Amino acid sequence: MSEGGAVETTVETIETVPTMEKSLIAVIAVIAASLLIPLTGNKYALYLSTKIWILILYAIAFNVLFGYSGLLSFGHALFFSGSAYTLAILVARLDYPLVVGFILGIAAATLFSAVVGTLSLRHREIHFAMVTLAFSMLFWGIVMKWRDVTGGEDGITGFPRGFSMFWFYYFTVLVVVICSYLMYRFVKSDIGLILEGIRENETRVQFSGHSTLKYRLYAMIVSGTFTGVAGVLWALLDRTVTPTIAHWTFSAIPVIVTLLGGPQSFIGPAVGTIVYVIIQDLITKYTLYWQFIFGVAIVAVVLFFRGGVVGIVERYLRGR
Amino acid sequence: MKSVKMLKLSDVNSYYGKSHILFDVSLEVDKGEVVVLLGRNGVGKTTTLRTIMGLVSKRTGKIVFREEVDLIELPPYRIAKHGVGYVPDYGGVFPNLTVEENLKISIKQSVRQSDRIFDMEEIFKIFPQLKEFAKRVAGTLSGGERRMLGIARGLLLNPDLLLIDEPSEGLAPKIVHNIAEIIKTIQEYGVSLLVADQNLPFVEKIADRVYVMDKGEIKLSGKMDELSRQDLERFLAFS
Ligand SMILES: Nc1ncnc2c1ncn2[C@@H]1O[C@H](COP(=O)(O)OP(=O)(O)OP(=O)(O)O)[C@@H](O)[C@H]1O
Ligand SMILES: [Mg+2]
Repeated sequence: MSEGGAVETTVETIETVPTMEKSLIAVIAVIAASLLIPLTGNKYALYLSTKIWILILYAIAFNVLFGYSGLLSFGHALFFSGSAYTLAILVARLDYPLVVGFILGIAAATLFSAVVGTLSLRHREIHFAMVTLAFSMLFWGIVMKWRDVTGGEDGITGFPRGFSMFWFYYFTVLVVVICSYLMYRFVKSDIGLILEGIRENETRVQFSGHSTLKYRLYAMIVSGTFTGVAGVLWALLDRTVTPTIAHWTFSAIPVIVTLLGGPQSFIGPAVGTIVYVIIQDLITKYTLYWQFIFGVAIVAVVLFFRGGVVGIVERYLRGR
Repeated sequence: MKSVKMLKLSDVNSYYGKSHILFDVSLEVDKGEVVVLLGRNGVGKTTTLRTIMGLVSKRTGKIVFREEVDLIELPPYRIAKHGVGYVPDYGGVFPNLTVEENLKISIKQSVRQSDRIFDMEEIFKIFPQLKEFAKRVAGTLSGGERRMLGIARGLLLNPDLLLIDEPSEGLAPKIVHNIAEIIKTIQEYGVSLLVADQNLPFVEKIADRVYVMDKGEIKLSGKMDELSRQDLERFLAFS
């Protein structure tokens, strides 16, 4: 019992291979079907689905840190808005080409995550969440106050998208699919394995010869960078950036959708995002009362189905 | 031929918060030796191994490894990289990872790349059961299998010194016998071992030398075959 609280619960053996194949087929089917959306000519559906794709990237990137490394960040809005604002400032204020804004926007998110990671990763659990929250609030404050550069409450407009909405949708799908694949490779790599080990028992990873701080920083940078990709896409979609995306409530989105969809599976956050955005879109047409019910539903899923929506579906499939 | 002192602890003291646990512990492990740290429950065996491994944050004294480096100030991962492997009590496996993944976590860490002895293939030769269970989640293994997996993971680091905590605890006599055989095999590979245990028949099978611990101090030490069984039992009897 002395090596670090070693009450070892036995784990049920799970046949992962068949469910993995099934979910891969499901994912491909959903992607293929979603490619038809622009062809319907429904502008609102097009806008909403582009948004969903971007938020999916945001949630999956967040979960690289949360689900795979056991680190709950409450400041991912910093990386999201950091990249979006970098793009907007470079392109709208300083007349850089859009491509440069796009690339340097992502690079800014990489830089921010490296800095915030270095300063916060010594903290664990709720303390880590608080430190990341503090950094993102600081950034939000800067965005609100430094009007000359950030436009304050009004944000920044006046930069192009580079695509029509129609083609921007396909561009977004392509970028999100590629980024998700890269993150999938990352979490399944040797580094990903070490991160899983850290989540299970950090001490055991240390005496196996790994500097856990270094690996947690890797996870932070990968997560922050891909969050940055989502951020620049978001800026392009609306052709505007506003402080909403820097606010802490925007950091809460990936937390909620990930818990809703299931942090233990790679596509859990994506499923959670789709459920969340669609339901939210429907209920805002009704009243606050519905929002309350939605809130209760989320809490229920999180409390009683720890695998999230994906966990529920998996259990249902296995039961057959 | 003068043999290298693999490990030398001089006046090591350890604390958990305000409680003082180890008092001026000094001990040595020569190259190729199996040394056993013997003592009742709660005397500080685990604490000694954890202190060597850098896992007890408040520690003082000298812990010289290979006559080269003092480990006392180093973090656990650096100590591991210098060539000290650690197998906690009950094996210390990652219960939600598969057997293969448990092994892969330390395989990249071989200390001296040139004289790597233990790779997956070699490990499966020593522990054929693990090959059978490669895809199984470690949490489903029996107590003995977990102990084997823990030892295998420690060996994949290719350590010069392996610390093993209570390898015999709670296991059936037949499995304890297997573990003793494995420890002998590891010794034949040239790895030095420091083992904490309190099962005297098991210790008699594996030990070259013994240190007896009581209340955080070394009370008695010597070659296994020169110590009297009575003396050893006196320290192990529950009082
Ligand atoms: N994390 C801790 N915090 C405070 N005291 C501790 C801690 N771990 C161990 N101790 C105390 O340190 C003393 C030595 O414990 P240790 O685990 O080293 O003994 P041990 O010889 O390994 O015993 P066992 O045979 O039961 O494993 C005991 O009195 C124990 O209560
Ligand atoms: Mg112990």
